[in-house]
Amino acid sequence: MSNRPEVFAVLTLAALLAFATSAGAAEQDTKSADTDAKTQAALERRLADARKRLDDAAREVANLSISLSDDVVPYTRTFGRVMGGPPRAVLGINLGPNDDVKGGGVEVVSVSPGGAAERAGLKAGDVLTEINGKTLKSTDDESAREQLLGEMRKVKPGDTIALSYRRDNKVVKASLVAQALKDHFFSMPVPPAAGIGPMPRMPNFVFMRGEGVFGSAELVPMTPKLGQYFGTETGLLVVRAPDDSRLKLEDGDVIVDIDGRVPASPSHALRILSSYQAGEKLKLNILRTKKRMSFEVTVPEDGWEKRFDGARFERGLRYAPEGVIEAIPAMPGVPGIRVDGPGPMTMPVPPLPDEPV
Amino acid sequence: MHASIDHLLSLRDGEPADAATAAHVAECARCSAELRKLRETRAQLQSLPQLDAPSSFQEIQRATARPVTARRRVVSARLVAALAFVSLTTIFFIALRDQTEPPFAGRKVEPVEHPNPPTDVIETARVPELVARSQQLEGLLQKLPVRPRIERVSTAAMIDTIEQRIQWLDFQLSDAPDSGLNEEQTRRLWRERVELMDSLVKVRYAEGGVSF
Repeated sequence: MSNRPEVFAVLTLAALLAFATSAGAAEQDTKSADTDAKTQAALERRLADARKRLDDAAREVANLSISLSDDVVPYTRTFGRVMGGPPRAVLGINLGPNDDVKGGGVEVVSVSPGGAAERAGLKAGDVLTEINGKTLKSTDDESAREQLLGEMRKVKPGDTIALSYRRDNKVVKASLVAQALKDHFFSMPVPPAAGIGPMPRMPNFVFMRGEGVFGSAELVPMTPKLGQYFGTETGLLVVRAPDDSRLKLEDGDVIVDIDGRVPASPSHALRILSSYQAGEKLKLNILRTKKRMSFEVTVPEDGWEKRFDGARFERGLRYAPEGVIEAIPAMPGVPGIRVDGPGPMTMPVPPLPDEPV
Repeated sequence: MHASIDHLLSLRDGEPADAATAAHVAECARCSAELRKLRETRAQLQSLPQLDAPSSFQEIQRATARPVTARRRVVSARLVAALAFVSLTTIFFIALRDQTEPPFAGRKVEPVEHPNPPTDVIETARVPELVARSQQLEGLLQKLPVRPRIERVSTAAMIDTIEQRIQWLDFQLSDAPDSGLNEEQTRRLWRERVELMDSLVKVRYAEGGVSF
């Protein structure tokens, strides 16, 4: 055979590979696999603990820093939407205090993370030169900054805004959708009202009280492509079910709605869940292997109320058509205060345009 | 323009990457496929058994090899064996390197200044210093990968809350000169913004790091 040395070399290599891969034999492999699985599980547990600690630390820092500047902003501005009429539209930029910018325009001092301007590519240091066709240039009567703020007061959430801005001496055009200023994610001081005493303060992050039972879940919003497989294009796919089994969720479920409210994102789902008091019942509609299922779930006690001496926190400010704000929170002995609203409160406040039900 | 191999490797390893590049990769079929291939290759390499390079390879070969007459055949056999040996050893060391070396090894990594100034600096800092610190954190945030689609509920909620609060602060600060906020009140709001940005960077970094 003319190629015997080559064949021999290859066979030698194969033998070496076989020897090496089988070294240790099956028993060792089993032990090794067990050890790997245990190590993996231990690492997963440590990772989950570390994530929780990080979330807790971030919440504490945020809570304390919010508390430090709590009394800075006057009530009338805090509750701009309620006291001042229609919802305010924002671009997600911070203009800072400077009126005069060399070359004209308004300097962006910072860009709000997750906001419309950030998504449109704006950065701190950019200079806005035009909004909806209006050139921003200071005159004797009005600074460029005042002109921009004036234009923004005409804008409603959901409106498309045409912007021009200057960066590195180049003018760039951008189009972005104005967002509603959201104020329901964190607590606000409740304005005093005639005839009642000071309102008790609701803790920040009250909307996260469902975190204990739901916080460890990993979710992904459904998309049309995922929908082809799972049978729905809306809702949230449960990639990893929460550690707490009381919500009856399993890996691979799709949360279709929670009592009819369709969650658009993981944090929205938590917000919906957190709007229920412990002990209340809700209906969880899911898809499991494409079959629609419905669970009645009693919202579990997760320790939130215990942290505040049994205080019960209602679902946030509710705007009633007859012009009444159901004031919250309801503390022990002060169940459900209702405050008669003055003029601006008599109109029902519609849901924000970008806010799902 | 498509993402470079360095960008793709950064994304694969969960390193901070330019947000625009990460967004492009997420949407571009070609770049996504490349990234998937890189991840699969690493997974395959990591799944290889750990092999010790056979020190007695030459002895085994010598003892078992038959004498050959044609020089060409000897060279050819040695070449095949050498190539096989080199390949085997290379695979072994690549697998070993991927398991033991940090993801930054062998690639240029821009040093990132730690965003945390001493706490007392923030407490007493004046508005221009706080604005500068805030901008520095903003720059850092923009270098992080885009938020993963699959999110842990409590982390997602924390990030959304902090972002909304910062947006609310930006709204208040933009109106500050007209709304009668004095210098100290403005300073306190800026301080809160810096604290929140700092928390946001940390949570986002951790979230991005575990998603790849």
